[in-house]
Amino acid sequence: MVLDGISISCSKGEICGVLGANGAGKSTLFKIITGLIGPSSGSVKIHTHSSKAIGGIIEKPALYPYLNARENISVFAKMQSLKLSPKEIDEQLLLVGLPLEKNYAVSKFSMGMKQRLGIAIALLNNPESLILDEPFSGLDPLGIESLKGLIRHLAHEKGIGIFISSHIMEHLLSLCTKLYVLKNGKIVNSGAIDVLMERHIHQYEISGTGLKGSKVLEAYQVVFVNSSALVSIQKEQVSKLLTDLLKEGIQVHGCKAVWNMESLF
Amino acid sequence: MNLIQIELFKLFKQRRTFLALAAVFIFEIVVFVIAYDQGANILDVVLNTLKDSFYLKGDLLNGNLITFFLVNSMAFHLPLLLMIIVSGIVTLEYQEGTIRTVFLQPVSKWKFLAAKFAAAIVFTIGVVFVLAITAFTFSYGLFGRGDLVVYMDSLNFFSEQDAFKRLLYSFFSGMLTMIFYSCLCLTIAVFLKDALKTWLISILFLIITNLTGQLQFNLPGWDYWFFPKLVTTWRKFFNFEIPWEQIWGSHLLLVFLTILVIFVGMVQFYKNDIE
Repeated sequence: MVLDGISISCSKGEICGVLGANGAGKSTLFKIITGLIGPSSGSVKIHTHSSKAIGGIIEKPALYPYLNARENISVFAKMQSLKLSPKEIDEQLLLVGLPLEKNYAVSKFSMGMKQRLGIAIALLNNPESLILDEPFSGLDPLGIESLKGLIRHLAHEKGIGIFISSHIMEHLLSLCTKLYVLKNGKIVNSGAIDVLMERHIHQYEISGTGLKGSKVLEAYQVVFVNSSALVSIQKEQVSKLLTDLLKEGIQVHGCKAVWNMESLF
Repeated sequence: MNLIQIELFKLFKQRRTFLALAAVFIFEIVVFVIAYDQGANILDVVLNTLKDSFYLKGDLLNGNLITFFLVNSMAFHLPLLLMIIVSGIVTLEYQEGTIRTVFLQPVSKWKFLAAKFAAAIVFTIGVVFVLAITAFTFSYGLFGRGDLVVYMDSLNFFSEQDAFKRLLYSFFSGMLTMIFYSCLCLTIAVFLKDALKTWLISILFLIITNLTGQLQFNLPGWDYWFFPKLVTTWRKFFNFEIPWEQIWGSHLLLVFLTILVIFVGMVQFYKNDIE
């Protein structure tokens, strides 16, 4: 059994994340929700009056490589009996930040451009929610940030509920308000990001100069890694610790929460 | 209709479609060149014994004979090319993953595959039409008209007008065979979802059909019901007496088999998960 007893929800305008290692069942979950594959038992019910409740990209943006961006949008629109004018096609391209002058075949597109075009196609017929399976894989750091901006825009400005899956936590933390942790086909943890942080962050990585000689840090449980100190501490104590370190004359460059992956998974 | 138009649009946006069409033309050119260079010698060898007993008037190396050679490409070359192009209508969707994108849209599985079968049939009819038109035009243009001599168990001679009619009938009959092959390879593609495997199985099927089609048994209904004989019904138009009843029966059976193959493909496609 790939999935067992899964229950997830995402409201209008909300971005929810599904975190899981490779093979945890993220893509299978999304394929069942979108109806690409049928569940061996149980059913998927989507309460909507729209002809397309969910749009999405599963695994990778799959497009006709010999067609250009406009032709791809036009073909997928016609398939669902949408008659888009050239102006409307251009608007769809602009919505996802694709330049209008790129008229060459999609096979020559970068992965970032393919993701954007995939999202443009997923948005055809105005779905109420969007499913993006590993949307950041294959993107460079600039492309990741740019795509995050687009996802935020679609959720906050257009009111679309968006589910994103990833095996990289940082991607989800910077976007999502709610997180589901999937392991071996089961949801092993879920909730608002803030609540999960309370439960699963007990260490902070502080980077700076002179940390190893700090008297303040002697009062805590610390592991030193290069110029950083991994301090076991509660969230409420972080401000005091940083203030004390500054008073001691330590130059602090950064402070990052470290998730306890063992308790999260 | 929309989905069929989309399928044809996609088909003609791919370079491989034009490469395959170019291959049909290249095959025609090769036949013309060989006929021009070697045709007279071959005919001399074939008709040498007849020349001792009969007086043969006129040029038998003419447009009708060349068109007959081209009609014969429907036995192997044309179905091979058609199967390669047509199977891509389905296998490329799996290969590129576009099948997922399609069914993330509100598209009916039945309508989607039915459109693919319809597009494959339209394309096949188009290719056979192009072959027929170019075969007649260039053969008559380059080699002129004349009586047709063919060997079908015995040497059969047909007058110029009769030969044209028989060649035309054989193109229409061959068109049904080509449609069957196109639909068959589309169904094979639905089962295998992979271009190379589909090509191999389709080619294997074509080779076995061609080889077993050569078998002759004195069994009742052998020429009528045996599948490899059905797909070469177009050859029967070059019997001295056209066996119309047998031809109609074979055509009806071939149409039934084509519909059956489409039905099997549709049911399997509906059952397939989209991975």
